[in-house]
Amino acid sequence: MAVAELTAEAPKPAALLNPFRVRGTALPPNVLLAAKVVTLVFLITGGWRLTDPFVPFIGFLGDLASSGAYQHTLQAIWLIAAASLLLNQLVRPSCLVLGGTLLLAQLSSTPYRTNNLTFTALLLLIIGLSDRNTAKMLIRAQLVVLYFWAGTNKLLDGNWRSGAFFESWVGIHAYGPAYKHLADLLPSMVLSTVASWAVIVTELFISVTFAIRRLVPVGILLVIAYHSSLFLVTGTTFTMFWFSVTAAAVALVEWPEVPPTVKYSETGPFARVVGLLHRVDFGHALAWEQTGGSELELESGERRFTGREALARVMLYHPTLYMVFYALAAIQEPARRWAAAVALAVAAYAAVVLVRSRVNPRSQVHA
Amino acid sequence: MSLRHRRITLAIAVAATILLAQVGINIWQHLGKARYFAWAPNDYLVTYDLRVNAKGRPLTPAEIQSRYRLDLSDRIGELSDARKATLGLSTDEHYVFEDPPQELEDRIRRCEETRGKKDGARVRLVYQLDGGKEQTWLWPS
Repeated sequence: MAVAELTAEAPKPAALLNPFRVRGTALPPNVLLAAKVVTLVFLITGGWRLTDPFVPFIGFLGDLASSGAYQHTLQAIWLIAAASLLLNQLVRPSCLVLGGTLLLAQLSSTPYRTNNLTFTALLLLIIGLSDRNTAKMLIRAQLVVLYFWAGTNKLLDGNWRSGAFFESWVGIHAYGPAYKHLADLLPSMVLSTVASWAVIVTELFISVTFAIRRLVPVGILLVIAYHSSLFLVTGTTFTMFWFSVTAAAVALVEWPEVPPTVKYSETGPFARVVGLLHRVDFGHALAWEQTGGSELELESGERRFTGREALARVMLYHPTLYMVFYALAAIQEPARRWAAAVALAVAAYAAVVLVRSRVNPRSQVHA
Repeated sequence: MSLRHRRITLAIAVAATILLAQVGINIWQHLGKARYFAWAPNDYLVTYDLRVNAKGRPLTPAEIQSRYRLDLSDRIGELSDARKATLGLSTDEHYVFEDPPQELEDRIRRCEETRGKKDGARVRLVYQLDGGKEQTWLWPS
């Protein structure tokens, strides 16, 4: 089936070089999109500079070459693989090289190793090792491992259970005043203890949602809401963490196997915004049809959506929007909390749609 | 079995090994006090002061930062003494490390055992974990 799908939509080689294009490769479109946005962010934030060896975890990595030569070699390999991935060439090997290089850089330098870079490396490696049939299962497994151990580490730590960590952590950071004001209204340590347990329970629950297939949509929303809330409150993306985990969530979204058809008119509701979305669909992710009817429609397989819900789906399946959004969020400037607010708004809307579709399964029209 | 199928099976085996290795590393790291390649993102708050004498003189914070590649921004110094007292922090502490203190000690020790071996450095690390009891670590111990 995967081969038939590849053949049916195989684009011309020149079209494949389009970086906004995410269809027609060995990976599912949104998994490739996730790998691309992570790579794009890593490029924009300067992560591609990687590191020279410094007190390596594996001793000989510090003796292979001079510091400069080692770092420049890693950079060259990483940049070539990034170009290859963004231009849709050898996408799986490119992901393997990107993830492998980043992991190697961390093994080469104790100070360079961080949880967010380790996750980014493993996400790219896992994508590189997967195909259309296994990608989502493997990414889910990686998220189960990540959140299970992140939650368990906190659960086993007395300072997390008592709230001592949270009290100190919030106390020394600049975003503490609002928290302190609220904490002052309550008995000592109560708010910190509640917040600590909320984090522990959330992380362990997220691991459960990715372990059970039907709970994956809940997991996706929780990951986006949880990390975007942290981003909004603290103003930090924790380097690559927010980008990588939200990209992993994007990779798990149910994505149409063939480009959905969008029918819109020049005069109907949302006409301007849909017209703009059509013009910026540089990757030809959707099939656009201008019709005489006034209602906006999106057809995806046997499902048909109209009006606002169709507009939401158009944006959901629009790779250019993701790339622009992540690129803008990656630009270092002090007031980038807007990205967290946007992600939270999207998650909130998606949660409403999800709940509504569970309560009333007939809310979507069958073509 | 086709070549393509074999490749996919091998890829899944490698991916499964990576996932299982993470489980193993997490269990192993929980037997000790460090969390290298274990999932504990920003789970610790070490507030500390670090003094280093090398080559017969005390090093400046900039030299210490470069020597160990630590972020020695004075994040605690920005707090008032009253705030420090409320949080139970020592007035001598200036810096923040968000991994277990064992990893801070390991980095200093390994730097001094390798790159800085000839300098005959003497290190005094005073720290608190999550605002707890003040502890002192010395190199050479």
